[in-house]
Amino acid sequence: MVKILRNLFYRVLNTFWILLLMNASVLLLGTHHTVSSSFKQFKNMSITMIALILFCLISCTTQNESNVQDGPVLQNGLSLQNDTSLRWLEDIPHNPEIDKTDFKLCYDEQKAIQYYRVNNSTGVKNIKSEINALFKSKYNSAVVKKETGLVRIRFIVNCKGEADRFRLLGSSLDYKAKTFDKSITDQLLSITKSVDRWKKDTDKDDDKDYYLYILFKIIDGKIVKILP
Amino acid sequence: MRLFIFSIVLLTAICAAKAQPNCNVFLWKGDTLQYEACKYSQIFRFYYQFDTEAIAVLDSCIALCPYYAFPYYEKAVVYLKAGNPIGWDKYINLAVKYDPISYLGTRASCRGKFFADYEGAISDIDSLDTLVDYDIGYIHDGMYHLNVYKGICYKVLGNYTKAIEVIQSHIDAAEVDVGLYDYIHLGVAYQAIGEHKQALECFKKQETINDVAENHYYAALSYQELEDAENFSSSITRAKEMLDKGQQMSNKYHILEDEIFMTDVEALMK
Repeated sequence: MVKILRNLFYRVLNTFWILLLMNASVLLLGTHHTVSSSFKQFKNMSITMIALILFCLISCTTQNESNVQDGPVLQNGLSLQNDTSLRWLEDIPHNPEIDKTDFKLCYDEQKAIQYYRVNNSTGVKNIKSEINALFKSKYNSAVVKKETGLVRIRFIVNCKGEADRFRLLGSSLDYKAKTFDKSITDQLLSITKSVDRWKKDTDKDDDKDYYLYILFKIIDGKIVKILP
Repeated sequence: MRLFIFSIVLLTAICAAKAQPNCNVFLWKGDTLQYEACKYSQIFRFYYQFDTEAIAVLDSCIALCPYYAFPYYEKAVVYLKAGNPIGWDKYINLAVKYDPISYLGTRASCRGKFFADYEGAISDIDSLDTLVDYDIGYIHDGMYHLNVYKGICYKVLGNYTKAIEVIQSHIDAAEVDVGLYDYIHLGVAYQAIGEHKQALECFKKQETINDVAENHYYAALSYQELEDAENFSSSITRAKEMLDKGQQMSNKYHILEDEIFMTDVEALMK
């Protein structure tokens, strides 16, 4: 509710400035030369502005909380939505059983963003060629089960380029949930975790904590494509 | 002078204003259910799309009108941006089911770009083409025409001849409406079948549209094959200079097809 009221406020403010600009422009175009006639015109315009702002307030939809339903709890790769402790969909809270204890975000959990909002575009762009080379050299397709599908590893990177909270998701090529053999997933996970720095020293403007993912397209156990 | 200032001010006002989506189209069709869901969905604009409260708004829209495609699409986008193929597929399929003309093109390009599903992308583009008798339009972010993207998919799948046919046909028909990187992809396709002179023509044309490092890098490859040392040297040097300045193909969500890295240039320079 607070978010809606805040955004409604900004919307009204935005409308106010637009109307002010339009009134100013009408005054500029006006052919009246006397001060008093300009003032009268401005007064009339102000009344119009107030009426329009009120109209905007009335016509804007407000949210009746009784109409809002919590999203259903979903399974098989679909994110939990009834967990109100989650800020955003696909957020990864710290799990002390599997995550590092000494991994720290630089900022509050609430400030972690998605990879594409990092200054230098993809967030993985600058090290993509290294990632490709790393998996080409380290991943051994000869010892894995010959499975096919998509494997996503999503994690969080702090402002220093360190990463943790790795979470794995498997899918078939027709986008159905799939559990891959450990011979594949253990390798992918361990190689991903072995990257000790996810950004280069030149990324000085990327002073953010952010979520990142790598998606592997696997055909018969072999990595054919690494995304994004 | 006053008219000029007025025009500038009016333009500023228009750009600053946020237009309401037109839900009335459903009312005109007599579909009050979809109209109500559409009106309610406007609340979604006040949130960041990943916000669980935003998702709750979308779920409410779906509860109001289960065949309103927009909330399914928006939910799909969140999963897409998180790289979740399962969530994306579930919701984008529903959006396509209820509004295929609006969302088939998006599903096509996202399948290819985010999940390397090039066959799926081609299939969707072809499906859309059967549904409309007008221009099928552009991919989800407007970077390519859907026909060009279909050609790119064929190229990635190794069907270079088909890729050339599709992309060249579009460019010949489009004339002035050539995309930012269309000639690069066409040139690379020509290169793949050994047609280096054709490829170089494409890269020359690309220079006049949007000159980027990739253009010169691939030109260098062709010059190398043609044993033209002088032009190879100048092209690869130019590619490196442009990469150093960040003048290259770019998309904030993913690496583009035929996009290059400094390691590619350095390897070629050795």
